[in-house]
Amino acid sequence: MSALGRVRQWNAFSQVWHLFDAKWQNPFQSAAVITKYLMGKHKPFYHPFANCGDVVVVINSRHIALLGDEWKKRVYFHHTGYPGGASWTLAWELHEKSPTMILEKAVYSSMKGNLQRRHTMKRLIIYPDDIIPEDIHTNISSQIKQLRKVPKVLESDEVNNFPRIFKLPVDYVPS
Amino acid sequence: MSFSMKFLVKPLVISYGNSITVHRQIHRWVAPTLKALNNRKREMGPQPINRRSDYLEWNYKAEIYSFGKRLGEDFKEDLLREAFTEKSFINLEAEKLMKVGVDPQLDMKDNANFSVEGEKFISQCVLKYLVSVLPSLPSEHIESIHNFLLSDEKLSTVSKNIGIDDLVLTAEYPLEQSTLSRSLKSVIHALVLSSGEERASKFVTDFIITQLCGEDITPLCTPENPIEKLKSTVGANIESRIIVESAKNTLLANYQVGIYQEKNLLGRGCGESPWIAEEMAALDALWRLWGITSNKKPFPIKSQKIVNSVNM
Amino acid sequence: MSNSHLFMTSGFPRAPLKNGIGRYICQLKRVTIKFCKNHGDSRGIREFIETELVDFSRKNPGVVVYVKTRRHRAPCLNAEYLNGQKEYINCHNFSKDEVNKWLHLLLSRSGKEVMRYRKMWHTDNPSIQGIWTPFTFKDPKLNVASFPLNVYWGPPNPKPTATEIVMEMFRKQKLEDNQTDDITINEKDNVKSSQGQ
Repeated sequence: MSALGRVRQWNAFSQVWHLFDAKWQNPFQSAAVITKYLMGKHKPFYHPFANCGDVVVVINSRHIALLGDEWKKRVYFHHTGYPGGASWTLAWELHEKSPTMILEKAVYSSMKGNLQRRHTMKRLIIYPDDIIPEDIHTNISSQIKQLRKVPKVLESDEVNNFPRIFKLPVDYVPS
Repeated sequence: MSFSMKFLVKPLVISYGNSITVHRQIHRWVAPTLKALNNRKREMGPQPINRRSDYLEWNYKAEIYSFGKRLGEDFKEDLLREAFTEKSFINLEAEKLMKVGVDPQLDMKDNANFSVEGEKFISQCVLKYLVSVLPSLPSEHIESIHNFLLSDEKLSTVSKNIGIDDLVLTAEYPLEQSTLSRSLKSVIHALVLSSGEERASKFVTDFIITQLCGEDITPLCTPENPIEKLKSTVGANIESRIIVESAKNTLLANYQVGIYQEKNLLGRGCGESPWIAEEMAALDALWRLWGITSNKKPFPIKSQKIVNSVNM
Repeated sequence: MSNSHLFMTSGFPRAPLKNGIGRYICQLKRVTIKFCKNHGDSRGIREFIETELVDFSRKNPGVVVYVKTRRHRAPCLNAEYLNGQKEYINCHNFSKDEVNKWLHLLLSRSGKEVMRYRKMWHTDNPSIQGIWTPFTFKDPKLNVASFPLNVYWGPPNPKPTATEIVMEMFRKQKLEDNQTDDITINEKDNVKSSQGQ
């Protein structure tokens, strides 16, 4: 292969590091998009044998948002293999113990259960907050769009200046 | 294998009254026979390969006539015979005659002279064509493309696919690349003498210059220090900027570099490191100037303009 | 369902030696017609040789035709091509026309091995605009951006939130108020101005 052909190939199949901000996002909805980038399905020359997947760095996994009462009701099952080793962990309990695990499990289960899954999962890096190590941060060159719009949190002066129709007295009690 | 498998792969049908039983499809004696034959072949060792002319169905005069007609050319027979005769063949014939005791006074001429003349002619045609088709390419790269087209490898593939390899008279077989390319050059000189330079230049265009079509010639036009070369071509006020940086800390790092002159992009290259990308960008800029990028128009072969320029 | 394609060689159609770009040359070098002078299966080929072979030869001077008699053997056509490949056709009980047709088929072949074609085309330059890379449609702003981006990077055209709707209503109202430059003061305006601010 000529030098030009070689660098062109390298360029076309280069692995891109994407950032995804999981703040206030639904992890199961986000997992679908993250999986797409991890597998390389966003590339026109995707092939399962081609190892063309990109790396996705997820931040703020501590601040994900589950639907409705899922925090209280979603259960994660684990069995140690030994008798009496079954355990059912609620989502909020799991999240307290490990702030990245819910998102990790969501991505894992959104993939097909084939031999490629473990290799594809290795391309996923999750951080609970928005602190990323420097050497990983330098690799990132793209960002995946969030799926749910994050509403703006108003500052204190914005709260005070928010348009009011009427101002109730402090000790008002409705009859 | 001299057996035809068709006669061996037959169902052996044995019928007893109303019932028909079908037995094994390959006869019992086939495998042992083939094994015995293979063993004998292995014991004999490597055998000399026969030329086509060693077989019974061979008429050299008819072959030579057809050779010319197939290519759409009119050759003079004696010139073509001279073009196909190698010195080794003449020496071999002389030796044979001497062994018998006859004084060797062979009328045959070898093709050394023809091949030298032919090479000069092809060289001129090719250079003229390249200069007209790639006017901005520097002469050292035109020379490298010329050498590529006139290499023994290229000319031998052309002569093999034209049908020269059956017709050449040599001592050794199978033919070497140098023999084949020599005979092609001699044939072209024979054509020059038979039909004139115009027809011969068309022949060179159709068979030798077409080998350039579809080929990527950038590997032939790669200067040693592309950045220095670019500076000397367009001026020293060029600057390179990184356009894209991807996965910097990993083994799969990818950079794209652009070379700019007064905010105009001259060339863009990619590579594993910024230095490689810069070099490729300089090369890309040079190739764009010389008009040999991969999206250039295809080389014209049948255009009248080219025919006129190649004509002597 | 046939399986002959499974162990048949596969490839792509290619022209030998860029045939056709310059001039077209017939790829058939020589044809050897072998037949028996007596046997019935060679009748058709004998008729062909007597009537149509010379015309064929005259029309295709680039093909060398050898005619060989072989007793007690089936008739056949052996073709040799410029790329060195050989083709064999057994002409047992062929009619004159069949021999003619098969001979013209051999004439039109390129000598390339009979294979399964993966695609019925081939090109050296499959892409004019260049093959897609992850950077082809990348917004150039991302090349100099710092991640995470501080601009809006969410779903396009999202539904406005309640907060945004209220702010929008308030802004519109303010504009209307500013537009009415009339000095008519009424109770409503007084109330608004004291509370709105």
